[in-house]
Amino acid sequence: MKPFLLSLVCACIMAAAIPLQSHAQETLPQNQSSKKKLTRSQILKMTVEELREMSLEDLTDLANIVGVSSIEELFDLLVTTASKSAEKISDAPGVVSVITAREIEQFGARTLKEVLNHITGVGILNNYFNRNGLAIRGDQQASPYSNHVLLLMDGRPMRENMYVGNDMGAYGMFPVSGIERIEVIRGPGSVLYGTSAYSGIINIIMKKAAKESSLTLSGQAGSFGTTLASLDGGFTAGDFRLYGSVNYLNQTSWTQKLTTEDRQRDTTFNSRQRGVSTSLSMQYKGLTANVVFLQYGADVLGTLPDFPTVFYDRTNLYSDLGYTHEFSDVWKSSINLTYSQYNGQHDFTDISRDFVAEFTNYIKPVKNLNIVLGGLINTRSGQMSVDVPGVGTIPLVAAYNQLWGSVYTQIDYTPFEQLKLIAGVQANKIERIPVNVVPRAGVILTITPELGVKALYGQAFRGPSAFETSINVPGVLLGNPDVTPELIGTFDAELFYKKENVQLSLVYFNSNQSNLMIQGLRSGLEPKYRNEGTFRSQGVEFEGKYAPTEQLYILGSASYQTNVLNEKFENSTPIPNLIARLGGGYNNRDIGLSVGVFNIFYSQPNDVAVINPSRRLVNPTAQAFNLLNVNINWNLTELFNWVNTPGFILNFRVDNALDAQAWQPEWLRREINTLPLLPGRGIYGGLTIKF
Amino acid sequence: MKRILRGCLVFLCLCIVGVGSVAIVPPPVQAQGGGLFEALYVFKFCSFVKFPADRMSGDFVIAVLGAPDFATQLEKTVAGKSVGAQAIKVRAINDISEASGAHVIYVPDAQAKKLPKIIEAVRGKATLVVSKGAGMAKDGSHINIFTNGDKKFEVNRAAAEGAGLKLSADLLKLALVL
Repeated sequence: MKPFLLSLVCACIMAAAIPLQSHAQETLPQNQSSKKKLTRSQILKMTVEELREMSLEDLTDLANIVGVSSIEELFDLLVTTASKSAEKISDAPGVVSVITAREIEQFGARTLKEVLNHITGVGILNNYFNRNGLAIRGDQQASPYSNHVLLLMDGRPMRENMYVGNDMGAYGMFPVSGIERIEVIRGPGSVLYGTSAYSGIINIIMKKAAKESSLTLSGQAGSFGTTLASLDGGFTAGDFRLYGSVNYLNQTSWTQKLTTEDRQRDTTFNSRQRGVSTSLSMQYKGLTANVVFLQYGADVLGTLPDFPTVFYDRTNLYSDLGYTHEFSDVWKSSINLTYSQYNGQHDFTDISRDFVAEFTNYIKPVKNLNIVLGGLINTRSGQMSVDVPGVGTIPLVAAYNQLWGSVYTQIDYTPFEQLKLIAGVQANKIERIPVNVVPRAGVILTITPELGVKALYGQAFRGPSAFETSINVPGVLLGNPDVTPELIGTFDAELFYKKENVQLSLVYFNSNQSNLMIQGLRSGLEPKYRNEGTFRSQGVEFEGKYAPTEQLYILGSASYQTNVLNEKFENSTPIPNLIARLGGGYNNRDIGLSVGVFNIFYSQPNDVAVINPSRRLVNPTAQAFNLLNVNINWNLTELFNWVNTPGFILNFRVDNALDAQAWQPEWLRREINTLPLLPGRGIYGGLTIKF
Repeated sequence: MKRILRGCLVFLCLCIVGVGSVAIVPPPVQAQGGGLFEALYVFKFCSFVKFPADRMSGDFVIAVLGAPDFATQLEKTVAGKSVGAQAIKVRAINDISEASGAHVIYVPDAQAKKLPKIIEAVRGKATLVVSKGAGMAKDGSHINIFTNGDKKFEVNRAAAEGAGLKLSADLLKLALVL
């Protein structure tokens, strides 16, 4: 009941914004109020002379309706992840991709996983434990969880420490409607973000309330018994801004036919997922607060895959309280208190709590030098247990309390306008493990105002989870308190080009992992975690965006990689060597029409036989597939020029329009060849009302 | 059946895109092409800045750096207009050395890397620097046109005042002030 109560509270807060907004409109001066009533179509019919005679305030109001430029929203972006402060993508010491709220709306996506499947170098995964996994290029992804990717919310870590990266709930139920943009850094980020910022970082930037209060209601229904609903709203009073969202998802029937591992029987696997999530984002002067609460459950195949499915419930809480103070033009500081809690209910129950207190300083002693200097303490606690009838509660991971900490710095220096040098280092202390240091360095060269080159090298680490150090199921799997962090070093070289309406990027990467943490049972050894092995990968990536007109928008990417495990097994990952994406968006605001078509191509992945030649062929072989999605939004209010009316937007969506059969190699147990990755064609329709 | 469904989907998409493309005849504002609102902003900003007395005679010159198309748009937008008693003249330039005597210099995003040099060049000359590009106010531009939620421009007040310009309170009220 708790999530529904929370949703109700958030809904009430947002609903309260409406009468306040109405009141604000009533008290506006008559002339201004009348201008606010103009529709976009009416504004576009005005002459330049009429606009020229307007006051700056009225012009700004009209620009808010028309948009100064829709292209600007897509190309003129600042990112905050690579240096913990706002900078252009071309200046950021990282290989960065961004997807904005506008693109999410254009191309449509119901879950965070679907949104991220649009991003260059990201591959989605499904396995026995987790139907919402993903990996970023250059990674092996041997864990059922996305433990090599760090999730951030407005730059703050959403860290799960029992398994590390068990974010099935976040990828399935994070409130997508509350997202302003997502910045994805491909490559290591431990210098600023510590453990698990290993093969990549996903930073979710939450929507902030605008000057005018707002409320948006949305509903959608369609194939596989799917219903979706969301409620979003923003409220502003002076310097106080509050934005909230509530999202609901229920999918009752993605029916998959499978054959069991022993090939003894065919079975039908009815995969459900459902959840509810809420977010609140508040700003008041230097003070910020973010809270996301979500509950998500999905059928997963189970611990031992004989296919009685388990409904795996995850409840996640992310919260952050931050305060930033600018002492002078030279020095700014921020303090953040960040708390994450995860509860899981499977055949077993687990809980993990993660608290971070962090102090960060931004120092600019001279114009061309920026220094980030910070430190944090991180407390981690939790436990896992199972209830055995007649026996009682048995701990699987005994209650733990750990204290981690780190100090870090990153410096960028611009000796002249064409050159930027970056260097950084983090020293981190993980309980029971000696101090570990990871560095980064980089050069950004601007050849012309449009063209530049980045050369970056960084190291990262992933500390052991409580599960890896302490799981205790004798004869099945044992933790190992002596395991040490996995390490990665990645070199990236990027050639980028940017004009007002064009953005191109070509990247070469080379990544080396060592000290991998593996389960001994997979290598036929004692069933115990240990450090063993290496993983090397390299590849090229291309990414481009082009808007030939204000109405048309084209984007695409391709990521190709090869890899080798333990210098022996080539291309031994569930992610195929080539993933290519191509999309097009068309917007005609005069008739309120927005069409987004996006195709994602996964090449044929390698068979599990690379490592286990005796794996059984019980399911269809994984083939290359195209995932084509079509999303249409039609704003009836703009189409019919309704005045003083909320925006009524019809939505029509076709997922997997080509009805591709998407199977993925089963790389976790490696006993059978494949598992299903995605459902077939789905058709959905809905309505959005924007007040 | 699958082929028919695929065919229908492709046909539907083409129809929607096609109908959307031809349905509307561009109205006056839309027919102006890109940059109209930016040009209007540059024009409007001029009235909210108090220049020293010695700069309030002769033509009011707006220099546009490295953006000839925008200079043309601005010229059309301000045709016949003046700031106080000074007639507005637009000058397209390719280098900051050509900006001599300008009251305003407009710096587009593509020229952002030149901003420190521009700031240095106009120091003490009471020249307003207007830019358009993410982060440019932070880098020293006096007024930067940049969509930030409901705010359409940001102001670096200290930089403007350091250049000997006084920005009106009405302008600051509408801007994101750094």
